[in-house]
Amino acid sequence: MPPPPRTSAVRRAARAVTPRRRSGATASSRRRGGLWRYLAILGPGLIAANAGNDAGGVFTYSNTGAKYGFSLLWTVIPTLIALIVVQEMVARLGVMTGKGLMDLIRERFGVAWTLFASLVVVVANGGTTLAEFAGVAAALGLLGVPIPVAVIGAALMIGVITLRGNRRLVERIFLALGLAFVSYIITAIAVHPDWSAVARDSVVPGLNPHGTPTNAYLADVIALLGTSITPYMQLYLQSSIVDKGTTEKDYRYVVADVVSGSIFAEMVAAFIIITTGSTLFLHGAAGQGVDSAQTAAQALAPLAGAHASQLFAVGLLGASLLAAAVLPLSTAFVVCEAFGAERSLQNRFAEARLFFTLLIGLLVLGAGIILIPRVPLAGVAIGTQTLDGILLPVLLVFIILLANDRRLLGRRCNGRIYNTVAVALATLLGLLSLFLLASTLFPSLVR
Amino acid sequence: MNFLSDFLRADAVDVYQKPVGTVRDLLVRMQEPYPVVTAVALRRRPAGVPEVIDWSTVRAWVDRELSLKLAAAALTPYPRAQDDVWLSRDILDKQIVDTDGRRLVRVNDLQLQASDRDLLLVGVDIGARGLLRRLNAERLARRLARLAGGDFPQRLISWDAVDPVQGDARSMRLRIAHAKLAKLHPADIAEIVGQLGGKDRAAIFASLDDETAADTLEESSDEVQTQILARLDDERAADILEAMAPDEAADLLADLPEDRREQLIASMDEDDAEDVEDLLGYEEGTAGGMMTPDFVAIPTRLSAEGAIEYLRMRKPDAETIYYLYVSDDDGRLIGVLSLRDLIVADPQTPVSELMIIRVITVEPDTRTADVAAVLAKYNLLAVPVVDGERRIQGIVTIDDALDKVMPARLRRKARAL
Repeated sequence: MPPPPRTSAVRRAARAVTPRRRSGATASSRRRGGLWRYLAILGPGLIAANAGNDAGGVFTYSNTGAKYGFSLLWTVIPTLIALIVVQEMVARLGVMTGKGLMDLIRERFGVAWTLFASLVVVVANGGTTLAEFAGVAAALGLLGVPIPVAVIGAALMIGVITLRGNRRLVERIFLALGLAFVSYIITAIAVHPDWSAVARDSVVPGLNPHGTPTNAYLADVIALLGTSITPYMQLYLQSSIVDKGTTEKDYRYVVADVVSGSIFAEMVAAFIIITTGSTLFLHGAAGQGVDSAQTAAQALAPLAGAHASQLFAVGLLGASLLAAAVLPLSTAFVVCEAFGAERSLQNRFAEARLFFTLLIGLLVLGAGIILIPRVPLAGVAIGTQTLDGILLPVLLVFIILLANDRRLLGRRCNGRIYNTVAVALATLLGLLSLFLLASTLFPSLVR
Repeated sequence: MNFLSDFLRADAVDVYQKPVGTVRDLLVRMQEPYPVVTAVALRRRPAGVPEVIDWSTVRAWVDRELSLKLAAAALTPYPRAQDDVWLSRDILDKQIVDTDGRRLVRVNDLQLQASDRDLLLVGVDIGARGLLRRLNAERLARRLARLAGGDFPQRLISWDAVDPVQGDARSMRLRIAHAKLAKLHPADIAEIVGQLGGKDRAAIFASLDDETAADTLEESSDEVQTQILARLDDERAADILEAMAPDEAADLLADLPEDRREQLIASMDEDDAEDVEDLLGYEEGTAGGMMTPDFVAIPTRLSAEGAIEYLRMRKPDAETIYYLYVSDDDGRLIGVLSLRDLIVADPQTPVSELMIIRVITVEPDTRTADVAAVLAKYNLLAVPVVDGERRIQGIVTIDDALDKVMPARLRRKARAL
């Protein structure tokens, strides 16, 4: 028989294992309220919304403006409302439960749904990461950097920051990357759009004025919505709020973060549409669109000057870099949440092996595949769009069910009116998403 | 073995075999050491069947079917309380954290065990098999694993090893406490240690005494063993190796890089080091590779009384002293007698009259499977390994042989939690 345990030694050993984790907000910011508190809480909402405007998003907005001018600007405000409602529910779940979305899905809906969702997330996010690195390569290519240097440099930078930096630093760098989006606002102002037309078309729906086939038009509208509200944004938002350790008493600041982030992100979307809508659209792209974000940037040079073109490239670079960093991070969070493994940017590698292995693995894979010549990126894009289209309705149903769970949220569960709005929006988004799915799988539907 | 996931898919029928719904969840009363199931919740009920019924109305649990003692109409609702703990809702899929609040794994399934009339929550499944069982894919996965030539280990930890964190009804977390760990069976400690990162493993090993650490190491997988040894300093590692059975220690050392192995052997106690070095000379997968040099040999000239006295004096720490091997002055094996023969014999009878002369033996290069076959055929607890001159080199015990022919995890499964 073993002798009785030596309790003091046990306790000493237990204490020696690791330092305690600290909650996110610093002590100094905790003492202040108002604006300072908002700035301390600010982050996840803004980053998640900005990450939604990724390389694919920039392309979609550029294409929309080039093809339809301002006539689809009206979609921005409804999209903004839907984005805020969905993100608010997700943020509330994170703040109130201290658990990520996949944590809650596993605990409430069981193993089968969890495995399904995580599998789809891993594959879809992997494919999207690929697209982001393609975006980095394209943007830096416009600025004269060779592709291998651009891709390897970006992957190394993201890897070092997420691996070596602490959570606060990572968040600040992500926020700074979001600043690149300001370049779109500057470009839009620089091309002197017809502001009165902008104001009118932002509110009055211009229904397919240019004779595009109806199905194709509808598909473009849905693609516009689909790129603004994606599964990875919701998953990242909740995980990073939890990682930050924000609690219920800061709930209203979280809402402010979500709302301001969504507004900023949708403003960027609008300004990209405005830029290409008042340049490319008027010079031959009407009804045609552009075939990529970098074509849009290149085409801007003769119309609005080399600076506009470069600013557009900088915006694309920021968008791609941010999403290329957020996607692997969100994927790692999701998988670790599903299986209960440790995950936090606060940890060192040895303390959260699975988390960091996934993070690095996705980065290496994403960057590595882009370096292979002639990767069928269009095929990858269709695949990821399909998977996201399947996943988004499922996630929306889960989010609504969870946000109505009184055991989980107590008095902060969805109110009746709010819930009606949320259900209506989610149903609409889900249906649109399924339509996009159908149009991706069966292109003949929209031709 | 019964698991919660089996119950959750089960149909329930009343005393007339009329369906009354399927099991949705099980209610438990928290008590030490194991929570006991008190009620069952049903879904897809016909009209008139209450949602929650008392577990005492359950007559039998056969073939994934729950049969009740009463007719559907006679069932009465079980009173519910605010702080009820439901296995599926409140424990299944929840996070397991270590004492520092770090996340380890989730509750993939729960192991239930019938005891008298009660059904007890005895274990937590933290392995992939639990996950696959939930997906109805456990059998398939095991078949595939067997095709690939491996076994598919069950990863269970005893309910003793976890502390539900009470007070927060919305999230029940489980906790594996280091302090509680040392009190567990080494096989359970090994299970938990296998889940931890290198640093935590080292910390846990630092808190165990040499004997427990040695037993835990013996129960761990080869991979975990080498990782743990890599993090221990030579002196402590040597202490633990000395406390291990020489055959287990030799197996472990055989997996280490040569320079590290020699360092460790050099730091070990001379006698133990010699035993281990001898064993390292034998090939793995043979009787030589699996035998232990710890056995009881007694000289032929003793009487029964003398032999017992001899044992008392020597206090052998051999794995089995049930068999006593009798050797002549040159160390040749000439007979064997059991402890029982010795004790029931007249004190004055010489050992040479008690012993059986035709001893079943194996040779150092006999294959593992053949050794096991010999043990099984002759119903032996151990078989001596002899060289060409019938000098006894060591013995292979039935449990060591079983370890080698049976996949390691199966043994653990067989051990009652």
